[in-house]
Amino acid sequence: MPYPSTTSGPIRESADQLRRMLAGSQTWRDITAGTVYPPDALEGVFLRDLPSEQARPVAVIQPFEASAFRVIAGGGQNMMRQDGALLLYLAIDIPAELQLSSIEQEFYALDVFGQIACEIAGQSGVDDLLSIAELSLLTYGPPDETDIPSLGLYYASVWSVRWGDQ
Amino acid sequence: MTTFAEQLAADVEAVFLNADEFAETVWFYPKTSPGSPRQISAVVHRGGKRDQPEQYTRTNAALTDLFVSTDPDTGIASPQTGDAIRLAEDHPATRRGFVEEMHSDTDARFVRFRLTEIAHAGERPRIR
Repeated sequence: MPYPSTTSGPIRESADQLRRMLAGSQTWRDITAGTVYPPDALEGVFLRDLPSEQARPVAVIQPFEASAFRVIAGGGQNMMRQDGALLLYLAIDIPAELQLSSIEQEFYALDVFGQIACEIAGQSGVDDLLSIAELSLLTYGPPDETDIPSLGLYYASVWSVRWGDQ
Repeated sequence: MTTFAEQLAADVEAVFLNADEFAETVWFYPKTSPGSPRQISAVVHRGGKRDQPEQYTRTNAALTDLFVSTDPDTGIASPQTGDAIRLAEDHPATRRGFVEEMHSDTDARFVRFRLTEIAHAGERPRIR
């Protein structure tokens, strides 16, 4: 049964908005060009489990920690506004020419991840995209050395994306 | 007169690592020349897949133990991290990475490899 490719409801809508922001990153578009993804993983972004056979680069976006409706004005109106957080997982392959230098691998990965984060932040609050309150790097790195023959040489980074009035 | 130990040593090559007896042919990809694999004979134990939950990924790992000669041509002379194997039933792109050497003798050794797949990326599984 195919996965749904449409989103509705505020939590999944926010995930789709972040997906569109990642798709708006020129760096992400450049590195994903030519990679084949399933129809529901638009621009290489999965809003569901990542299939193990999927080639990199890949991104996964999922709800993370709290999603809340908070009072922003009291009194008789009791106005509430939604905020929330998403988890963004990015994985990119390391070019073959950097295989012998772990330092160059790390610098390459951090440059790519950092540029993508910068390009996402630059779209914050634009039109109908997410108003990001905080974009923070939780962790990054390569897989365990003994798993590189199986998984390939890649770097992953994990980001917390808090949006709304937080 | 041949001692039991000598007879056993002779059996390693002639019986246990004989592809017509207990052994099977395995592709070996040395770390130093992964593009030039060679075929070795080994007794293979295939372990089941295990779930390995970590904070932001969950992987499946299958252990594969080999009983193999220490001969540099027909076996594995000095296993190291980055070496890999591929079994007959594996996809041509599959690699099982070297994990550890469990036992070594003059003529043969036990070595462990692992096939790892990412089963889930993102936060750890939630309440369902």
